[in-house]
Amino acid sequence: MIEQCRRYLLKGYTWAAIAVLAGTGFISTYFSYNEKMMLMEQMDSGADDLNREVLRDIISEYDNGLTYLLRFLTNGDLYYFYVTAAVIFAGLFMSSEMLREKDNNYGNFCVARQGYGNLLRNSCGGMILCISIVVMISTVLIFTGDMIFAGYRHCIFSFGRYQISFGQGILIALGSVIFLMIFLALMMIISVSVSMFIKNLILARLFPVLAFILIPVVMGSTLANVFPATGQFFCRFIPLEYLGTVTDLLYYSSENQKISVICAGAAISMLTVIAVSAAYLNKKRFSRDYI
Amino acid sequence: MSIMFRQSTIKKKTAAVFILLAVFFAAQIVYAGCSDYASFTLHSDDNWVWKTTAGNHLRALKETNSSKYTVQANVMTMWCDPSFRIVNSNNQSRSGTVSIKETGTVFQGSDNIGIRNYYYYASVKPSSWQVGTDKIKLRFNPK
Repeated sequence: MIEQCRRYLLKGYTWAAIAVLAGTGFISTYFSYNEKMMLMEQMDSGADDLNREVLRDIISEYDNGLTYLLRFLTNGDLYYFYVTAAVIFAGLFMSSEMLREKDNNYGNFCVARQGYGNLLRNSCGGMILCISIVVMISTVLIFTGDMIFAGYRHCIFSFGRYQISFGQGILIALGSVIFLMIFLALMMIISVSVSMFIKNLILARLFPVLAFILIPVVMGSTLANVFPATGQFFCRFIPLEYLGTVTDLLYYSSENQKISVICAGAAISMLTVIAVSAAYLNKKRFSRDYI
Repeated sequence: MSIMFRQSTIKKKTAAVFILLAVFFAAQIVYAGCSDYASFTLHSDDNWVWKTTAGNHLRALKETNSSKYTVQANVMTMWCDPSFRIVNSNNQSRSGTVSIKETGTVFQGSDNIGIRNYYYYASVKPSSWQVGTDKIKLRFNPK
């Protein structure tokens, strides 16, 4: 498993993916910095409808690298791009690898040596480990960049409904990243298992982005337009939406926090059941029919 | 017997009227400072929109110097979350942004740098993920 992970990590495209993911975070930092500049311009303007005390506090919160990281992780659009980029990378370069190896007969050697069950476990484990490391490295790079750029202040700052300390901010960021890693791990198991049944390499490479990003987004958007009352409920099960549950905890009232956590829990449980079933079916079928 | 029955009916009606009035005034207190609902039409290529679908602006009076504000949508046809902020009459930002994730929930925004006794206006921006045209109907309270 570790050998497989090392194999993926040493490839050039993995580091390209890390660069793209970290770059998304740096773009977010740039936007946040622009917001700070805009606030400073307002401070210097002679506008008479400005609460300068509050404005001063807000500007001082930007002197903390953690503010930039949290703004990225909790502020919609660019985080969606980050997740989508990770899913595209996983699909293009990893989840379809088993199918490619089967097609070019390299897989036959592996199955002959270690058996299909072991190959599936090692490949999936290696890919999950690799994508987790990619996400972790990119987040650490973003955080380090933000801290160098904005500096460190051990202070309490306002976020959503709460006043949070530096330690709590780190925990929120960590929670968000771990939740994303769990999602990516389940997505990887499903994609690897399903790609063997698809048998078409191009389709197998596109499967993760189609099944976990595009189709849910199009369906959610259509349902929300056709049934405005219930559409929003279905939208909670779009991966990009429930991956923002950590944000919901910061911005929602306690009652809505519960609903949000229950929906995210239900979605992840559903993905787990699908992942286990897909892996089981895959192992059952290809333990017999692989070679 | 019939007089007693009539008196009891009058008492019930009076009580019902008082309860209705109490609820009405309580609602006035709770929603004091809150704007009416207004619809915004958002196209995917729009930036910040502060004109409602009807062509006017949605405004509310700020009654305290609180740095918080709230926003609540009751109709929303997009799956992705549009951003909301409050602006002054020159369309200059007076708050941080908050994502409106669903209908019915009151979302609290922060970084409200407006001051009391001024009118502030609603400004909405579609998510980068929005495709085509969507509608959102919302109200806000600059507090």
